[in-house]
Amino acid sequence: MWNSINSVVKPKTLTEAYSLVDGKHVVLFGGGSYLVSEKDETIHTLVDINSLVNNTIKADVEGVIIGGGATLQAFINTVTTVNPDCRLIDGCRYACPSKNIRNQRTFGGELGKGRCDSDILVFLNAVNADITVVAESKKTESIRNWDGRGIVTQIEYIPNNIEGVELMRSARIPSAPSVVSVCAIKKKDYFDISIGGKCSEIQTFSVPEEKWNNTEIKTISSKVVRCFSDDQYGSLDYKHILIETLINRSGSTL
Amino acid sequence: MKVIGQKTKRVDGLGLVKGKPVFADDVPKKDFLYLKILRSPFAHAKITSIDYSKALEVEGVDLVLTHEDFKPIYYTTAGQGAPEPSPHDTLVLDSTVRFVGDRVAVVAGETLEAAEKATRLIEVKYEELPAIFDIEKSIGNQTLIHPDKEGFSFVFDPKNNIAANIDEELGDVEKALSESEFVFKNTYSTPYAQHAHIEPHISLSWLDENDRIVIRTATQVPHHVRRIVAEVLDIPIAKIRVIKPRIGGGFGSKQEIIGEELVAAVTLRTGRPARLEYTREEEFTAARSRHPQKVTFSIGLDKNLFINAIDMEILQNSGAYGPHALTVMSVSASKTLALYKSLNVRIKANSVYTNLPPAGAYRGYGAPQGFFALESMMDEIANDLNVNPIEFREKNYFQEGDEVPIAKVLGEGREGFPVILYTSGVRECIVEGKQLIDWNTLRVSEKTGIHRRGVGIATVAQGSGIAGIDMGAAYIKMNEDGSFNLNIGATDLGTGSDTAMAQIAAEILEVPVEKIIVYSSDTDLTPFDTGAYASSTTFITGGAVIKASEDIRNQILDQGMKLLDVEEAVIKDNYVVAANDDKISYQDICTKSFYTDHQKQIQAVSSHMSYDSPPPYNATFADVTVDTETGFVTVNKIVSVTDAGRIINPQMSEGQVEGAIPQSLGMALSEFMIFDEKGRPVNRDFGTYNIYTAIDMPEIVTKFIHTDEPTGPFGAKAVAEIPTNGPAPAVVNAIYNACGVRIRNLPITPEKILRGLGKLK
Repeated sequence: MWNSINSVVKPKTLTEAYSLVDGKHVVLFGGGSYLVSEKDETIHTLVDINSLVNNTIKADVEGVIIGGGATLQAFINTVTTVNPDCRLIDGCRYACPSKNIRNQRTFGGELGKGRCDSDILVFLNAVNADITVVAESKKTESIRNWDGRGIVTQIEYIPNNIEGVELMRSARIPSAPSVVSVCAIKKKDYFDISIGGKCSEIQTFSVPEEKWNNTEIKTISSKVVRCFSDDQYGSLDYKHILIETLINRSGSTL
Repeated sequence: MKVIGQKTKRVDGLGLVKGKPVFADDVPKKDFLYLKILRSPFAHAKITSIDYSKALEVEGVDLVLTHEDFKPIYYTTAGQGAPEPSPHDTLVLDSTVRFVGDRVAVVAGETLEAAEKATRLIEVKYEELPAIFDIEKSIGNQTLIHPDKEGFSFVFDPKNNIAANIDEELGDVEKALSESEFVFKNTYSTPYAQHAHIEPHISLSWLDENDRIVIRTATQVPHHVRRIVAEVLDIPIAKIRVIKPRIGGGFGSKQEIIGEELVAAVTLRTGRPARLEYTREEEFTAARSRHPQKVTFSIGLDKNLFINAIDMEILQNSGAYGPHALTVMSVSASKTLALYKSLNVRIKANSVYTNLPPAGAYRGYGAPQGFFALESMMDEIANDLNVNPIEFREKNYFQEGDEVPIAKVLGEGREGFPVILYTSGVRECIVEGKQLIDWNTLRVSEKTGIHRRGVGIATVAQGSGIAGIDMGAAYIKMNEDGSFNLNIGATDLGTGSDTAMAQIAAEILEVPVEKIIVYSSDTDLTPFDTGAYASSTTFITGGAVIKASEDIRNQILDQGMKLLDVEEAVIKDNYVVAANDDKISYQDICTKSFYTDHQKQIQAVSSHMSYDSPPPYNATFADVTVDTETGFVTVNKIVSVTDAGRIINPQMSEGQVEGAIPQSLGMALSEFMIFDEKGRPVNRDFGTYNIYTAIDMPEIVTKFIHTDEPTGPFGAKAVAEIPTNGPAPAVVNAIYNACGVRIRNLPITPEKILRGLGKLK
């Protein structure tokens, strides 16, 4: 891997794997794409979980189930044939524009990394996916409630109660990470919205359909923009407009 | 012609695609020392002490070099013709650091890990000094970045932080402006930008069996490397051999000597092979970038809209040192002021020091900055006067047969040479491009709604080598199977120039390209060449290859006639053919020349230098859509039509254009280096510094129009840099056409668009 790595351990179980990591010097090794790109020299031990995590993908009308070890590209390959309109396909492409890297990057790793500008996370927060996580114990919970600890072994969401999905993003160029990413889900009588990007946290909102109007969108945008900052991607005033526009557009297409 | 103008296979293509060990680092690393540079955390500081005792305790660390280990020889890292016109303001290692990332010390270890660990253990005490980050505050600042020192040369005014200056005038600009019917004045600026070549700077060195130092390096300028390393390490040139293998991109960045001197110094001190490779972060923080410029044009027009006067002012950021400071500004002026005719022209330019990373050569070399300003300005004038922007331009172009006076004034750091325009295809480029972009429709299409579409044009020029300075040589020898070795000092850095040179030789010698074995470049084995920069290789080295090939051809004919015992013959398809149809093959001629008859090696060496530097021309058209709610700009299509004279190899020429467009689109829309309040680079990787990739690219249409340049090889002009100059101003002009927002400071950000639309205060 790189200079500071002096050992790679292969635990027998995910629980054991989790017990070994300290998040600083000893870290999990799944696909490895983030590890390689960051080459953090404080890391000296990799805990290899490749043989322990499920990498299967199931996608049909009953639901989408993705193993934590499934790669983004495997998901695209699998789901494109059965549901080419699935917006998570776009999320995978936006979050990681390189096919080569998508062949390495796993869903578990993407969730574990917790990038707010990951369009995958923005999507999964919007659909309120359930994730199964192994830490001290194994449990399944909403992605929105997850504290980021543990090893993600499965992601599941049921699309059949979703009437429509829109994923919109703005980035300096298509291959760049999102400055703002908005995913809106239309359900029977309300919208679920998730907003991420170059911000400190992904925020989600549920808005009853009858309240979906410009005033509500402005209110949401005002709340969301607090997690952004003035930076090279623009001022807060600009981002406020951008967030508002993307929410408006994503909702209006549904 | 049989070979010229054909899409031939690259002569180096097979080795590259098969992954052969062709690059600088592709050598066995037995006994190598790995170098790591300790870099400054401060933008401006005096080093008061360096304690590297703990570093030397690291197992496998053999050597630590500091400023105390080098003679104070000031030089420039710019690999240019000697004497280099760039400020000689740099020491290999200095006791003052002038930007975050400047060199402090160099560690050599048995492994990279040991060297890296040791750099972290070097204890340096700094006395922090006030720093300058704003070019507007550099001149006259009490803080001096390079206080005048003995040994300095070519620094224009160190007491005012001015690295280089240009002050030239033709005619009387003040008078002409005052007499003009219309006068326009605007200022435009461009930021730091990175070359982003795939292969980083990498240099290796070792001693050969005669204790000469061999430097294998990713460079565009092997002969300049040899000369400058000899100069700064105070060793004879005869002691140095520089090998340039295949190069993974350079774009001007590898015209800098920023590693070769260090590996050589370590090898000389230890007797051990040494290797230094820049990390991607070092490429961003400590290599080179495009000079940021602030360009102000004042243009006066008479009542018929002919240009009376052009006044150009440039304030350029050199960064902490001055490589290419003078000549980049000179090109900004000389290329832009050679496009439109004006009897009164003035250029005032200062390149100032700041405590930011030093800039350097980058494809186009000042012309992209200059043309962004000029072509934006021309568009603004046309819009303000409500005239057709193309007709306004066409009214003012230099014509074939004109002399371009600015060329005589602005040379490469010295007086230039007069340029007569023998060929100009700019009008034909426009005609073709207008049709391909659907100009007439899109220009006047509805400009309402959220998404607004517009088209823009920029017409640009460049040079073909540096007149009176660039020189290239070629050596050719014949082999008994009828093949030829072509040895050139020119530097194919991925451009395909070796293939173009092979085509030229093959055309003259009437053999297939496969019969030409090209070797470039090695200072021991190949003749001198100034190097790959300034769009020079096809024009300059190509001239040398023509001369050497013609010489060889004459020798073959002469030998053939002797062997056929005839007075007259011609060369045809690998044969010398007499009038009576007797003939002898190349193989037989060479074999007999080697072994039996009229014995000699058929060989030739020729040099070429030109006082001409004919401008290639290009018209670039952009079709964009502006989202007026978010400010985002989508480039739908770029049409780039170029007059590069006769095209030697269409495929490689198209490649040059297709590679240049994303660089210029990045300059326009996504690429800019950011520094925090301490001068620390913020975006140091490709996650945060966004270059155009394949998936980001719009539709590209590349066309060439044909002219026959009488001063160029087979009528060729240059094609390497010209396509970099047009896309940025074309996009800016298209945005104005789409939504009425004029962007004068690159990059174009969505926020600037919304502010221009009045949607953001």
